[in-house]
Amino acid sequence: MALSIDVRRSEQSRWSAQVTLAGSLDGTTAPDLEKALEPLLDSVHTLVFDMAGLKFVTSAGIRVLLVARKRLKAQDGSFAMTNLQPQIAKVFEILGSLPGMSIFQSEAELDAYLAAMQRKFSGPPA
Amino acid sequence: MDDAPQAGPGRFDASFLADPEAAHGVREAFEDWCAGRGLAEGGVQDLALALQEALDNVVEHAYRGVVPGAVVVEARLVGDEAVVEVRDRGPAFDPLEGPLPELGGALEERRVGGLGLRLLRRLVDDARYRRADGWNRLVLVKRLSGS
Repeated sequence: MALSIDVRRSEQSRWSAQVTLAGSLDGTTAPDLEKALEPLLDSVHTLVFDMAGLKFVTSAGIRVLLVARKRLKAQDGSFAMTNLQPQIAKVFEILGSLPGMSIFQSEAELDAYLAAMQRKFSGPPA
Repeated sequence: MDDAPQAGPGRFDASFLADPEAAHGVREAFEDWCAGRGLAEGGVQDLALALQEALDNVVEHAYRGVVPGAVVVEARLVGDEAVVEVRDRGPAFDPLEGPLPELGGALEERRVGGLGLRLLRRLVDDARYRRADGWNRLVLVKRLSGS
């Protein structure tokens, strides 16, 4: 199964972006995500992953997300995931990576979070 | 061999030369095999991920620095359990040995291998390793009914 990666810069704030993932984030597709995220990590504060279409994730894929999260954190940015399928959420739970990761179950929750991030970040990344 | 799957229709059998794409193909074929038997989806997803992590580990480490060798995957149903065996001829390596990576530290600091092995162990009901006749033999067991 391939991985589809759709990157959309926020219309409200050019310092945030949404990445929609669908398919399989695994050892064969993780390098594609890494490549897609690279230019974003230096230019946004807030990265939101919509995982609704993500069916399968392995440790190799999670590694890429964790590295992205670490880089954003280093510049006081924020990293969030939304719409995780139960199986995907279970994997994050097992790895103990839920604490400190923002995960939203609804669009409304996410919107409120993004609005707060927008207030927090009014300029480019540090 | 007590662990060897019995020939018959209730058996999944695949072998490939260690390669990431091939490993994913085999895991997908295993999922299809399970789906064809109407097995509980949640359990199959867990087992398929455990299998993928086991295969990724073999592909990455078993034939490091040498020509990629054979990886064999055999699965069978025993009562309400699926029993999957992964074999490779790399240097002896027990993925079940040693402590799991600590959960206290920052997750992103942990080695990828540690994450994969944690998943592998936590997603199945039983896992056994042995070295026999020059093969690493990892057996994963998952109950597929009930929960």
